Amino acid sequence: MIKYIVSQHKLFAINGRAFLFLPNENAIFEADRETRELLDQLSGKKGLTEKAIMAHLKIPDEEKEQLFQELISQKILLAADKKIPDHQRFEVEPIILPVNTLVLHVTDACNLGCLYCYHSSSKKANQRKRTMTVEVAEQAIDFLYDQAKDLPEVGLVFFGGEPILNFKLISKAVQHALEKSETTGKKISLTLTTNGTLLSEEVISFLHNHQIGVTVSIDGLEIIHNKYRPFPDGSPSYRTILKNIENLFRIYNGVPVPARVTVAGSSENIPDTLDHLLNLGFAEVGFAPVTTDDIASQLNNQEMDQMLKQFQILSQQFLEAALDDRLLGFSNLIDLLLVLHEGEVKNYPCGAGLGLFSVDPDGDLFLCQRLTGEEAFLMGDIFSGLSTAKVNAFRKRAAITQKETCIHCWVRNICAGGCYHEALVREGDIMKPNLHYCQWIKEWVATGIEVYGQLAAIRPEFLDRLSLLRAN
Amino acid sequence: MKKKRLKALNKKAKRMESNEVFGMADDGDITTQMPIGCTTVFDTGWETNPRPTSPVGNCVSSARDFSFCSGPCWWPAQTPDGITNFPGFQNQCRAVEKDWKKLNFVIKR
Repeated sequence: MIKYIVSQHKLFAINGRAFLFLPNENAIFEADRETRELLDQLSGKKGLTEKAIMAHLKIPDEEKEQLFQELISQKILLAADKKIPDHQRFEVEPIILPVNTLVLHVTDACNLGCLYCYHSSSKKANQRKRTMTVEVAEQAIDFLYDQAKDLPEVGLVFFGGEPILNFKLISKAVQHALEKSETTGKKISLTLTTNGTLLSEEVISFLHNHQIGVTVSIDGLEIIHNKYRPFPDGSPSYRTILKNIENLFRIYNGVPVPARVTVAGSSENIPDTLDHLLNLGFAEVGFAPVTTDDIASQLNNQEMDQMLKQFQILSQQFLEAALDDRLLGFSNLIDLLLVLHEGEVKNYPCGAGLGLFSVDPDGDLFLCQRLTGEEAFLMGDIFSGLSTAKVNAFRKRAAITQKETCIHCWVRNICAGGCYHEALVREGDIMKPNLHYCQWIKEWVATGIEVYGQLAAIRPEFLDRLSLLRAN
Repeated sequence: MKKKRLKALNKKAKRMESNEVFGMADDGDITTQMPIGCTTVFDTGWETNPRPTSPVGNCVSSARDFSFCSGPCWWPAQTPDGITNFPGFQNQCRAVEKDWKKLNFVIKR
């Protein structure tokens, strides 16, 4: 007689509905009351026969059979003799994947002196400030198009330092990238992250004319922004940026511009910050806790908890707005909802070292923009190419299946261990999972599933429209 | 068919509901690192199903039999089911790497 076990799952009950999340597949179902009660009763039990399972149900026989079959076909009930481990090793094929995105580190220099900046950490502060030359940029662009193989589209990101300090290079590199786009037939998406202090009308017009997506790093309320993002002499930068972004919004004329906020110190102002930045004219605002090895600047557990609570308040506001067919530009939730919408299973936390690499001013290739300049994560250079051995060794070690502490976790296929740079700074090794925020991520994903489930059940068309926000 | 008790909400759940393959190569080559299609080598090393989903350890082509057949991969979905209708089908083929030629067609009567 076949015995069954219940596969790993999470049930979320909210507002009279129950949502079932399957961690193996990242699938989300809405479960009716009987299914939910059944799963509650069976949870943790082993060696269940069909008869024993049916005995828990108080519904007509033919419906019992139907429910049983649904649970089998969705792999929620599994034959016990095929007990499936939560993970399996897999082999990484020794090939280099096509490169789809290059982050050009066009200069090490920056005209702000942000208190928390990973580029101004003591180790790097004394290093020579390098600036990329046009030749290196053009070679990097050629490398990108070449290594993109058959991909129909590539992405180029201008990063720094403050990239607009090297605007001369950007204008030449953009021309070159567009010419290559013309000759190769590959589309290109160009983006730039800036601190907003150097956005003159001339610069903005150039960026707009070449359809370059702009993200502005700004910390929101004037008093907080000036505290953490001053000029090197300590003078405030907020008013300078404010004047520039007014021009930016005017010239971009409806083209969405997102803001990126670093949360340092207190996180109690997050909803006010979102409100403030959306009112200024930003389309979306994303928040990230500061990554630093300076314990005094790190968010402590209490502050992380507070941030989660603020995120949850905003998530509720997002849901209410969405049910009213309005979009609240809270990027963190939008991104999470889209991950949940697709249900893709992730073996890696991000594209670093798979399709994305960063290029430093000398043309060296690193895993990502945050690890630019770290010798240990040098993956080759744009002149002689990527080191297959290094890239494959990285891919082999970085897979979620290699992270012993992650393999039973229910958010493993969404989080995949989290940001490598954060892990390097906080855990001492990019390959280590970010154990310091495990609980945080779980609760955040749970919040996301609750919002997702309600939207999918009540306003599914909103989610489809939402995915267009990130489509090219 | 009565009302379903589990309603698929996200795309992955909908794919599972429509009995497409799940958790395997359709997740995109970056995430799974799995080749699609058959191999002529009877080696379940590199092509072993890496996912914590049924059928564990089977080769990809065979795993696909559980859901759908893709591209040039023809054989698994067209192999008679050896559990219900043709239990003796593979008896003529003790060691598949040597005897696969003996596998014959079946005609459902």
